[in-house]
Amino acid sequence: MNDEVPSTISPDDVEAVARLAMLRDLAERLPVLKPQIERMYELGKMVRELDLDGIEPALVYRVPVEEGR
Amino acid sequence: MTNDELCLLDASRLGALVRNKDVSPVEVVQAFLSRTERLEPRLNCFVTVLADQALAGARKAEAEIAQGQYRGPLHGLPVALKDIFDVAGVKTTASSRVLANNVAKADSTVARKLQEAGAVVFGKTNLHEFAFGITTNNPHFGATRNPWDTSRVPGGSSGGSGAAVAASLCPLTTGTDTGGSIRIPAALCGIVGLKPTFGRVSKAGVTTLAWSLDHTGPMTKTVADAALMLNAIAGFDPADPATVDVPVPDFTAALGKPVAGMRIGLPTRFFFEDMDDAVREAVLAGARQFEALGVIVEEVDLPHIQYASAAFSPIIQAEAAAYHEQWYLEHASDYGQDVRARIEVGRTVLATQYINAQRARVLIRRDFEQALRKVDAVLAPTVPTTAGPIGVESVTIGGKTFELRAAYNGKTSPINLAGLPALAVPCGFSAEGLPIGMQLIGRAFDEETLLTLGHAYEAATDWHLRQPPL
Repeated sequence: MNDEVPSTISPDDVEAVARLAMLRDLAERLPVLKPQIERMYELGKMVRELDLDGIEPALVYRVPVEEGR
Repeated sequence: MTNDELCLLDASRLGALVRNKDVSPVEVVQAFLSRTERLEPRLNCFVTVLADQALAGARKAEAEIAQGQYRGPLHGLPVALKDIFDVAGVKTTASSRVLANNVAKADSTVARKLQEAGAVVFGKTNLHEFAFGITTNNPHFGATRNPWDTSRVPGGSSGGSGAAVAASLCPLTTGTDTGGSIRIPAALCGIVGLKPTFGRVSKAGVTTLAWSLDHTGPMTKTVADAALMLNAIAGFDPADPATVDVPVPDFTAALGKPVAGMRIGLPTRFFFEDMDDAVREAVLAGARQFEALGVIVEEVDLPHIQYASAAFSPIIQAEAAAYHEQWYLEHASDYGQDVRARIEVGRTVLATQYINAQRARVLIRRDFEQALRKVDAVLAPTVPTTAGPIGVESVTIGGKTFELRAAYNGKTSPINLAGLPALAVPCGFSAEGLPIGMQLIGRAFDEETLLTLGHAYEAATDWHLRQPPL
């Protein structure tokens, strides 16, 4: 293995690559977008602090009528 | 009554004049066209003014009323629609070059219902491009200017609608609210904005920003006008699968009900942090006004509220990126720089982040639901500061600098996550003479309680009666 290549890739590295893979014109756009992408990554980490056990994602945005009047 | 005096009336009073045949719909529309012709060059509220169509509609309304076919309190009154609501045969540009030549084939459900209620479509209002921003500083159609200080933004994304009502260019307008886009311009322009419950009003025929967050609703001079407009547009719509088939009450029946003994909750965290002193004082004065009306004001806690932006941002940006994907791939350079960047960042949101953000919003909604078991409504500031200068994309509050979008929608977007109704009303002015707003947040499908409270507050104050110096 080439000594210059890290022997391990952290989950953060994988996530960063996965996010950047969606950008077109990467070299041109990355300087503009980098702060916002980093912010989005930080927001993702914030959500990981929450206990989401038992919450299914299907139709979570539908407001339950029984909670109303 | 002069043309300008007519234009300064709220829709309820105008409607009464029309009903009593004291003034004709043609006279009303002509008055607003004349005022718009004079002030629009300074404000840029509209993408399209439909002068001929509005006059034809007014003549039709006049004939119907003369023949005894009175349709109701909106009959013969002009209404302007944010330029993402389709009106058959009229361009829907979303204030973007991408849709510059997009002519709608059919009416949006809201446009259709308003016309069925007798309202006359007056024009299409400017917005932040594709409703994806909070300033209405639009690179394609120009910046809309705040009538209270034309060097400042009206807020957004429904900034043209907010400014048009504040400047009395049109008494009734529509807005959409994905993270605050009805309530932010309502607050910064000193008018009333109602984001109904998610599913209360159809979004069919309205350009999407984010499916699970988008709401449509009225922007008006008074709470009573918002109730009138909600009466016309609310209800289940087979064309919008997000609408809910629940009874639609007469929202005007909520006006004038006693408020003594009702309960309002003030959040103990987040909502009153990082805000201008003038805004905090105005909203707390609003709470004291409610107490003077016999309302019981108490504290409520929303334990997960500080996570709202962590859930909101990936949802709005990923959904917008998905909606725009084809246009973006083909016309990326046609977007304004800020909106293009938001779409691109949305493309970097991982599926896992999006799904967990959707799950997290349940915690936000549960917090509100828990609080709303104790109180009838939660009271909070709408925007933590007043309207900023056009072109400035950050704001300093309490010595801290914030990105403008995060500051403006930080206190409104949690309610979009919860899907609950929220009514923004004017509650004061800064030392510079700029409007300040507060929002009442209610239980699902209980817009009536918000209208009752908002109307009682309005009756006890005169903030909504002040006119911008135009």
